Amino acid sequence: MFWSLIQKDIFHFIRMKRELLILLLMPAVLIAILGFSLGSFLDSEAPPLQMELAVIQEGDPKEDWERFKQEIARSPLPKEAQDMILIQAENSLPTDLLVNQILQREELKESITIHKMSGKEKEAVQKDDRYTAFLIIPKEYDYALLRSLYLGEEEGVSLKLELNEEDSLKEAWLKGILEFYQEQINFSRLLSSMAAEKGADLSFDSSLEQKFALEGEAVSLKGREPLSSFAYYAIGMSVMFVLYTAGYMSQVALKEKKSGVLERTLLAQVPMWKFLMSKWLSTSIVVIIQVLLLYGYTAIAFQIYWPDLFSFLLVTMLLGLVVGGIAVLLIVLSYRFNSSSLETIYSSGIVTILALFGGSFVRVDQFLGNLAVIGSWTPNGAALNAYMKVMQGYSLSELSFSLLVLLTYVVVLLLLTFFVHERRGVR
Amino acid sequence: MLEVEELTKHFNDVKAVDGINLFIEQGEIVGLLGPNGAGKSTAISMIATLVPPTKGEILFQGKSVVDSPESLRNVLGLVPQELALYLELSAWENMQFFGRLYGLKKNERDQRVREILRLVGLEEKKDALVKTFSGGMKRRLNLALALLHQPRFVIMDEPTVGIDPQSRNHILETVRRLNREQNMTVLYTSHYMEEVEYLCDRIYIMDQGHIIASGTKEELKAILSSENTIEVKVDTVNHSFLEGLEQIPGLRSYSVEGKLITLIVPREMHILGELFDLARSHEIGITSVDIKTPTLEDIFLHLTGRTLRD
Repeated sequence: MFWSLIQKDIFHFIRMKRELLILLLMPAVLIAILGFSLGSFLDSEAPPLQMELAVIQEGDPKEDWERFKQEIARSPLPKEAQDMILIQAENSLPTDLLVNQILQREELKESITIHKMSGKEKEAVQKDDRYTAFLIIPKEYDYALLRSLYLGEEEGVSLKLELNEEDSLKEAWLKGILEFYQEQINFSRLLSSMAAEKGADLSFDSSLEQKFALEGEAVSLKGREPLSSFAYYAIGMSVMFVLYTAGYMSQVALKEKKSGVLERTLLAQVPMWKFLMSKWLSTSIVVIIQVLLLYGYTAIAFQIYWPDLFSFLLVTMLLGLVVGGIAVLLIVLSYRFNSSSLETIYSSGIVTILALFGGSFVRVDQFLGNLAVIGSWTPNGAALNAYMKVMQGYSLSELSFSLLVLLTYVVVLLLLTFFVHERRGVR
Repeated sequence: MLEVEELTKHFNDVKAVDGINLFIEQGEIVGLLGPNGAGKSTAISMIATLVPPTKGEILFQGKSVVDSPESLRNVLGLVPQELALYLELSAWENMQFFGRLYGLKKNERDQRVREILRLVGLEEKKDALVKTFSGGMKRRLNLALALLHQPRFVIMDEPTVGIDPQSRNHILETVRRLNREQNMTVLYTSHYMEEVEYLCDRIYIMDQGHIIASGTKEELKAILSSENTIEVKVDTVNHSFLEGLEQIPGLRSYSVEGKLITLIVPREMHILGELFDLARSHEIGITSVDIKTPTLEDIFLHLTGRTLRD
């Protein structure tokens, strides 16, 4: 019975030619138009970020390194293990890794100009508006971190990033770089703990070190794949147009009520809750099909491929369930008020606002600054962020915020539906 | 089989149905006659267990269906006034869908769908999308869907609204056949008195939420046994003529529909002379005069002072 309801809804939807044209053809055309017309604007990541980064070293990394060497020499570790630790540590001294190896990578040179300062200059520099941001490396940072990494001594020192201007994009970018640095440190920690477990044998296993080093590099590079304008608009348009599906499904459901089909269905001993659940699931399935068709088209037409199919399908499924939730809430509201006005307000107003804040038309983080936060809390914005990260090669755990937002929407929408559903009237 | 006691439905301050009582025996065709807005559809929705009553009781085979509607729903078929169909699906797909909801197994369902489509004369159109059907064909499919699960009791709410005479006859004949051959019980509502008169064994007349008369056709017509209905066709109608008409002694009621004036007068009264004099004095030509035996329409006019189509 339940599957019959869902099957009928899907059949019915497929036969609605006008709606199909709007929900499939229109986004397909818009992706092409926006991709071509706004492509150069977006592809250049326009305008390229320019940052003056003041790196303030409050301590002396050389001194830290000497102190660490002395401490290692005094330690009860065997000589071979001591040598191994010193070789590893010298290759990835924290300040050197961050300032000289990461911040001055070739791809960052165009955007970030590094100004190295001492702690004495800190106060004067912080008043200078020319600098975009200040990265403060505290005293004994290297020493503490090396002890933590190789001797397991936890000490509370951390880097501090201060921004001189409110720019969420620049902030996000710098934070991204620091995250990358943190990954490198974690990688060193992993190597160190493995060395501790394996003892002296590992000190000569350079191939293992090489293997991890390469893998670590590959993952980090993957995490920052740039996104083409076609890919961006494929995602932007799809997350916007699936929202319309909720409106259409609620329109159909209201027609079912007004035409007496709902009454006929209820008389066939179908409980109202089952009918509503079938609407939720059928809308979700229609949305998933809609998304798959749109991305199928973008794969063929614009060579946009998804690197991680599992994450892609997970986001798509959650998006489908959210839109299904919106549909079923609209249905109970339109049943309660016996009117299509709410659906009209939703389709002609709310979807547009959601699309704007969610980033379907423009990159909100570039144009709306801090308002971008609102976008990431919209259902389409959360889906867009998740899809973008999947396409850029982020791991599933890095999508967790967006996935959590989507999941929260599913739960909240279903709870609202439950409370709004009027038990009086049609039974 | 079914008893309705003091059934009442209020929508805020509006009393759509106000304490009606009726009963239906197994195998009867019972008519519920009344103008639009009389409360028939609300009464039917309550009887069909779709709308809970504000007050009153509905008993099916002695058990209340207000709190537990399942026993009635199992044997009930509803032909709603609206076209309760999926226009984007074919007749076959519509029937199959509802057949599945009723839990009919594939073979049984296929056979049943064919039988019913044949019964309503849509077998050849089974694969066509319903949106391509004429109004009459849609009405027939609307009926077919209510018969799919072989209900013992069918409620039909204005099943012939807005269709051609051929489809209307087909539907009326189908209802009669089902009643005679399968002893199907039918509650039939309409504001077409000729349909109710043709089909129904007993009739309830409803107006403004109340049942104002009930009985067999003969019993209802007996209400007017002391009266005559005179239909007068005139070439024009004017206000002063109607004012003069109201002054004729003994005239019980009258109604005007275009150039047709229907008068109800006591059987022993002879008003034709006065009528012709009045018409002459107002320079109105009388083109025909028809003295009729009373119809349900006349009864409704007699009881309410209005026609069914008012």
